[in-house]
Amino acid sequence: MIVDGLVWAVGMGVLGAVVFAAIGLVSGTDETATLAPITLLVVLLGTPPAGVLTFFIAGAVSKHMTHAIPTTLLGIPGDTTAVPLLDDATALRRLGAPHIALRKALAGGLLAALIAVPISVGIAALLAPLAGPLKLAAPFVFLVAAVFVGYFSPGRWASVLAIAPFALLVAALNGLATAALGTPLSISFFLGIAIGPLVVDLLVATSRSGRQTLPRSGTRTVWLAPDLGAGGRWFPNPLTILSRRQAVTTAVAAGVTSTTFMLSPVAATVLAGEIVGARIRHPYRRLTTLMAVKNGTTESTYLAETLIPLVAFGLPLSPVAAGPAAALFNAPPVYTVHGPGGGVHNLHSLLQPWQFLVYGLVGVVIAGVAAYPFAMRYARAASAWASRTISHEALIGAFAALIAVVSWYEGGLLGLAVSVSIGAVGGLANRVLGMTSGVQFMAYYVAVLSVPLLLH
Amino acid sequence: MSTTPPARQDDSGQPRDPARSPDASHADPSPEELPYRIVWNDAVDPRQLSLSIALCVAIGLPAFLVSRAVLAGVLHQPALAGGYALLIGLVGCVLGAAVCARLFPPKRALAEGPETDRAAALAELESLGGTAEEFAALPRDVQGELRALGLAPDAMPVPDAPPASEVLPVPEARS
Repeated sequence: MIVDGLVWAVGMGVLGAVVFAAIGLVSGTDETATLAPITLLVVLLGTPPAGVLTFFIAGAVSKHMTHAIPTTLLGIPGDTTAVPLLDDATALRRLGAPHIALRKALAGGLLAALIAVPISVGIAALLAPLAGPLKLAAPFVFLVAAVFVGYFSPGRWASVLAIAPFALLVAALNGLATAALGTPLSISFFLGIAIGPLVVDLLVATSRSGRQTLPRSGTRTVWLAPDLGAGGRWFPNPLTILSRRQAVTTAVAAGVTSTTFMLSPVAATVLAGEIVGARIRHPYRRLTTLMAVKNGTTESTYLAETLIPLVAFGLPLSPVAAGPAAALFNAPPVYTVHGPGGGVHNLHSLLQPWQFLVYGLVGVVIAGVAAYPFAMRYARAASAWASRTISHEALIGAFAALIAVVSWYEGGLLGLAVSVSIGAVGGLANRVLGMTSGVQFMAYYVAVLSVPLLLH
Repeated sequence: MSTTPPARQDDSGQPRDPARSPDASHADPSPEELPYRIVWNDAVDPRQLSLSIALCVAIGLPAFLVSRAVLAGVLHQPALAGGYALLIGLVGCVLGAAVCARLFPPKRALAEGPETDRAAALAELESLGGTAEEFAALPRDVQGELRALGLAPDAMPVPDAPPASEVLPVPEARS
């Protein structure tokens, strides 16, 4: 049983690391839009819980490593979570040291990931006694969490106010789907929220008046920094890449942020960057320390936000848990947060805390063995290959088709229509109001868990 | 830095910079030379994008629907048909993307070569506040990193560094 779990864990971990290391190279891919649907697919195909967990952890950590490559070498954010690193990476690029930026970021990320898993599982164990009362109060907790996440999104009060119409839209569409199909939909809603920004861009591109608002562009010139060698070793030791102070600062920042699970990773990263950056005078030292600390904080917050709610409550009570990691909590019919008896049936109930610790570390180690040396060594060749061969048209085409297939799998044509409708409304709310997909995921849970109670 | 010969600064000045910086590609002159649009954070040809989406959906969705219909009849456990069909549909999506990547090349051009020479990098470092006095205040391991990158200030004699020849303004000094 344990051996079986470990075999699945390692196998799926390697698969996740390879798949997401490749996806991370393609700049501009959105975290939620890639991790959520593909993890969902892995769950729906019947992968055992250990395999699902390592797939997600190895995938997320690998993606964070390879997406640092376009961020540091090409000057394009590899992902939405890489945006806070961009200014510092650009400054180091202008100093002719993009490869140093990359190595510091990778070393900080790996160090933080190794620290974050045990700390967040430990915090979750401390919070677990609260799980019982919390589950009874879940509908209201989600309401509060939605308001909290909304307030800290770029839209502030607009996002909070928009929770009501958005949740009502979800409830109405779900009612329609239940009437037509006999069961409610959920995957289609997830996908719609995740790819909202893409749906809006595509709609705007087809609008005769709207098209003018999309920025024009010629062939984009992407400057690629020269390769300066990775230094002989196959596994560059993160502790020798970082200076001693950098390693300590990164470890402390990662340890502290591993205990939080309500801030978004971007917010935690910006905050940690402000605190650390203000104390270092020399620009080179400040920039390289920021690369390590910021990338490390993104990693540790990300893992804590996934693992703490998962291990302690089984309810997706954080922006990451409700977004990219959503399929670990809720992927009907395999996993569910509101089963027939009102119970949670997902990784939380299927794995013990020690298993989370072991498989979580297995995921991080696999990413460290597969993606980390690869990113350290072949960073330049890989970004050159990705920007020369994978056109953005092909990437968008693949995602459009993926959404069509998966939503059709859940609800036929109606599922697809729900995905596109939610994508259009959610994407507009994201762009116009600053209501991020995290707020929208929370609003979805409000619609499913809180609205029915409020109506009765 | 004040020691930099003016010729070097000209060499690394305005004319070459816009082409190198990815941010500068937005601010280009004539509209007819800008046939692409930025969709989902990167440049695409709108017509090719429509074709690409149509092609990928036309491969992925039928792959899923047909294999589900076939598998439902063949498998002993028809409940699994959906799951396997989903996998086949996903393979269809990836195949579609591979075809599209062949048909429609990326709208990016790679510019390579040294981005900044050492003089420009040093000037940049100083403008950010990396003066010689600040350098002297750094711990030795950070000083060592900067020296390896050729970013240690020339004017700053460091006890354990070999003088003059090591710190000449040669771009190759970075490695």
